[in-house]
Amino acid sequence: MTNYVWLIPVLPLAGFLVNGLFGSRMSRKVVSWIANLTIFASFVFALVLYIHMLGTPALSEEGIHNILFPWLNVGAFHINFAFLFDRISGTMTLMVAGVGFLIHVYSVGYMAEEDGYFRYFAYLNLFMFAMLTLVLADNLLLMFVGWEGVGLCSYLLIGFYYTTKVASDAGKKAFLVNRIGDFGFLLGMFLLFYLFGTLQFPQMKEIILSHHILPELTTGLITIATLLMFVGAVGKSAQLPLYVWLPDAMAGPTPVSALIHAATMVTSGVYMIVRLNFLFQLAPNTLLIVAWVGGITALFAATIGTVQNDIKKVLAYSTVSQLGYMFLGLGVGAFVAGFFHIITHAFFKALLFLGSGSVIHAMHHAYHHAGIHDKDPQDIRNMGGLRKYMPVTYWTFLVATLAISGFPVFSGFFSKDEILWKAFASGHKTLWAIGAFAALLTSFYMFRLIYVAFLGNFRGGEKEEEGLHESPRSMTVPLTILGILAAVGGFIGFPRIFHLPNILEEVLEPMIPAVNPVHYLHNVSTEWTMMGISVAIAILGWLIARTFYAGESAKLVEGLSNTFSYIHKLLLNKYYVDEIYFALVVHPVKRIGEFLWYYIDVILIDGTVNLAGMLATCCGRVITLFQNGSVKMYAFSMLTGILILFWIFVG
Amino acid sequence: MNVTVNMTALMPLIILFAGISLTALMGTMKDSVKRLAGLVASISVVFAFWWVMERILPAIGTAAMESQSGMLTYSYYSVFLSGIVLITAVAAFALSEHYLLEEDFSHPEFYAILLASITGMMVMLNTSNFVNIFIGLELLSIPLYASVAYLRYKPESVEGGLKYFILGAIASGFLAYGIAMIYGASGSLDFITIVKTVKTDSLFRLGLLFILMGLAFKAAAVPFHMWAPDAYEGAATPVTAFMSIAPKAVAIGVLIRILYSVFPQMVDYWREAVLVLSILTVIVGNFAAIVQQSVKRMLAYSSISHAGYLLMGIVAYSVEGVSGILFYLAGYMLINTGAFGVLSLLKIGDDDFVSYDDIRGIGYRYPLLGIFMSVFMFSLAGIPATVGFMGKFYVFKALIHANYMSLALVGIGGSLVSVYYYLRVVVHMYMKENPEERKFNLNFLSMTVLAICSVLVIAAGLFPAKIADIANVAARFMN
Repeated sequence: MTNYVWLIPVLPLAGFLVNGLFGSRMSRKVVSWIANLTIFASFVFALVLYIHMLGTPALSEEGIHNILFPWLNVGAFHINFAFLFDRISGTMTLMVAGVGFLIHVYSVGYMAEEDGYFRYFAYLNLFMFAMLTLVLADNLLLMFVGWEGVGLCSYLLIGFYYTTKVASDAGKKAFLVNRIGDFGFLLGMFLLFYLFGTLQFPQMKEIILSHHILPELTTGLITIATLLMFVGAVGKSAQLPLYVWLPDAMAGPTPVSALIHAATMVTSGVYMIVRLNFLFQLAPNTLLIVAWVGGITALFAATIGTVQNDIKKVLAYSTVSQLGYMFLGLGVGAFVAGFFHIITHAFFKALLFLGSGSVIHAMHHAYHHAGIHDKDPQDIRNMGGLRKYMPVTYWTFLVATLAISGFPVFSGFFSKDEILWKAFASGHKTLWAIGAFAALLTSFYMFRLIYVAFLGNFRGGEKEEEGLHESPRSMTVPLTILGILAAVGGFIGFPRIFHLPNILEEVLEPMIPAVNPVHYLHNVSTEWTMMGISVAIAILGWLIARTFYAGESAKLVEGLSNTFSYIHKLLLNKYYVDEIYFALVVHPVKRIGEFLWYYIDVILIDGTVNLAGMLATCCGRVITLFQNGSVKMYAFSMLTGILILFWIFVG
Repeated sequence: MNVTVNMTALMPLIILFAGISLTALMGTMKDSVKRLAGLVASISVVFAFWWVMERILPAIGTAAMESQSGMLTYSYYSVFLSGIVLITAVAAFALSEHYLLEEDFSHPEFYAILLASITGMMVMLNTSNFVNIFIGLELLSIPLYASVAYLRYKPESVEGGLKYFILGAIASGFLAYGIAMIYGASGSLDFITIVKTVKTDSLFRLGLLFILMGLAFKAAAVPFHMWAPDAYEGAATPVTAFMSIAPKAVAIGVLIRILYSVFPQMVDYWREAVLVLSILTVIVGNFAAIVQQSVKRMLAYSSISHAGYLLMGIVAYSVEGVSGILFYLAGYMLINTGAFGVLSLLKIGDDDFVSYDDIRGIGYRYPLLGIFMSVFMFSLAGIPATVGFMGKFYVFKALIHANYMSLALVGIGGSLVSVYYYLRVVVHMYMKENPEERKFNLNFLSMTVLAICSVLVIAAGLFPAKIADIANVAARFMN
């Protein structure tokens, strides 16, 4: 069984091949069965393997190492095509395959009436293949293959509605911005190979643990290498300053936003750092930068999220903000807490996106029913009172909101509080304050969504109201399952002061040893106090949202946004970051490009190339003059050859 | 003297001979039987392949399996090359089916002739005696002359065959002369005996010179290459595919064997000679290919230039170089079978449409064919992620390790030039309109061969380690 780890990524690949090649000739039912069954089989197999691994002492130490074949052998560079199923990658695999499967099921209902059904499921399966390859890779190079693969699928799926300009532009933007990050990843990989002579995780770890590399010689280089890897993570996980692609990526179908741009792909930057924790722990300066980038991003994105009116845009900025929390956690050395937040975030954020998809689906139908084509089904100002018509969506959305806002018992409470507590306990008080303030904003903008979209009265016409209805079963069942997970998922990581088993920490501990242990404050009463503050913050955010948006208080909001119209405008326009990038980066690059194109390319390079081409053609013509078809000439040529050889051998 | 006959070693030749007899006999039978000739020929080749791999390969260890006092010698090295020859043969047979039917000139004798040539190659590869080298060469060559001239109603086919024959006879004469001199100098024709007596006196030098020339002719190395473009262009396209690969592999393979293991003491002489030939070959092959108007003739020059890269590998004089050459040959087999295979489909009746003008717009009207051809052209040009890149990479790497940096640079320069004329094919297929719409018949069997080739070209380009390992073993156990 341990030799078949490769089945986990390969099963969805098979689904992709079948659906991609023959999907156009198969019925929608067959297409969706193939897509769903392959990923479900991956999940079940991963689960069995996980239990087997944890149950076998030898395997649980090292993980299951599945070497398929030697991949590249060039000089000292040896890379195997190999998968590593250990405690970290196994846990991540379960999350990715499990959430992925639920979103596949959801997509069956959501995409039922769309064109390009088979194309959608083929891409989705291809994405699962790439993501699972990324997670299970036993070396950085294979991880990079998955890393680029998920980027490609993300590009394809963002641009799924490629006939609209917004979607195809957003796809291109994601692709280009990610290139910057990938460049960092590549350079980091080269530097790590230079330092370690290998790219395989277990061997790199082995070298560090056995002190083959003298720390005083390499600390600087390891800091640079980890920083470069972090640049890769910043691109993929949408952190400042490379986050700009993620909000635009919402142009893709909503289940894609849930799967790729919330639960899995965007967390792969965090996952990569957790995977390389043994390296990052050697570079305290890098960790400090990671923590600050994460903290500032968390706050920055949260502020933008408070004023957006597009339901998916709010969630997109919320994702950027939550990813910031994860990096904040990693940065203060709390790798387990960061990983914990990946998992709980996957549950509640996937749920939020799927819930918003359900809402959009319903609004779309309502407009269709009423024959309206110019209204935006994603604008929360057009919604209101949806609770009545879509109870399942409402209740699950509420659970997710409670989770992300950090209400006790719900999953987000445990993971977010763990991160904040670790930030405080490691002495980063400013970072803690930033995180806490972002948490307040989080709670505020989430309850704002609840009040504006689900409560109150519907703000559309009667004809539209008739068309509102709950989504089909294939959509509500995944919502319910994710709702349960978002509610109780946090129980895998109780804080120590609860005196309950912390399952996640027990599982991950052997893989994430503290090389330079951060000195955390151990003070039970402080920890209780901090937890109390967190809860208070969550409740405060809810209360503010309630004051502004519950019932008939719309005037209050209007007055407020008029008073602070500059700030409001600044936030609504997302700090003009896109415009600044355009002026500072896109425009100059275009000008440079034009210059290079005309003077360098057209005149210099094309001129040289044409000259070289002409010379080569002339040589060719001279040579073929001898090929005149006469056997005498041919024999003469052979004679010349013999004379040359004669001169060498005898002369 | 007590002669025991080792049937295991003889069996591949016997199988092939049975194939020749059967196919030749089928020529006298009725049409429904005649049509099976290609199948019978393929079966005999596959059976011979199976025998070599299943019965002979396990009997080889670090030392070669010898029988008949060295007349038949199988080593990992010779088995690797035999495998290339036999696989090429099957592919060429598969491509011929459609080509000859379209030409309406399909006769069982065609297969008998090619099988005879294949038998000659097996004889020449699996021996350590100069008598068999010569016999094998003649058995290889004479049927090949005939197969070039097989389309006897086409002037260019007969012309190519005749030129090949006249010049080939001269080359064979020189080879025989060279062998005679070596015999005169050493008193033996057996490799192992000769290597013990080799000195660098002038008789040995002259002998090696002529042997080198005879084999360089078969490999189409410049300036012994003049026959190649005419013969390649005149022959039926599947025959061109076959003779651009198999005889070249045999000539290069036997040349390496003779130079490395029979005349290692004369390395200073032959190294320089091969160096000069390789540079000439790369330069002339590539530059002449630029100005061609026919894709088929361009590929003929291209195969000359590839012989040049292979000769460069010989200069490295290391196990690494040989294993690079063997890998190169394996990849080259896939690519050239595919490239000529595509051309063999561009045919209506007895007209071939293989000029650059003719292939305009093919990529749009026959998407699959266009993709295949693009893969092969990219691979010939040595673009990464294809087997052609890895082959060049291994050979040039060996050269650099052997301190022949500038030679490697000449090779890289040559392949730089080659990008132009290979990509020109792709450009014509996709970017130019063709006013004349032609309906080609894309035969299923031929397309299957092309599909297998193009998949393997990519697969071996991405995951070269497996083939490289085998080539490495083959390179280390030559005797």
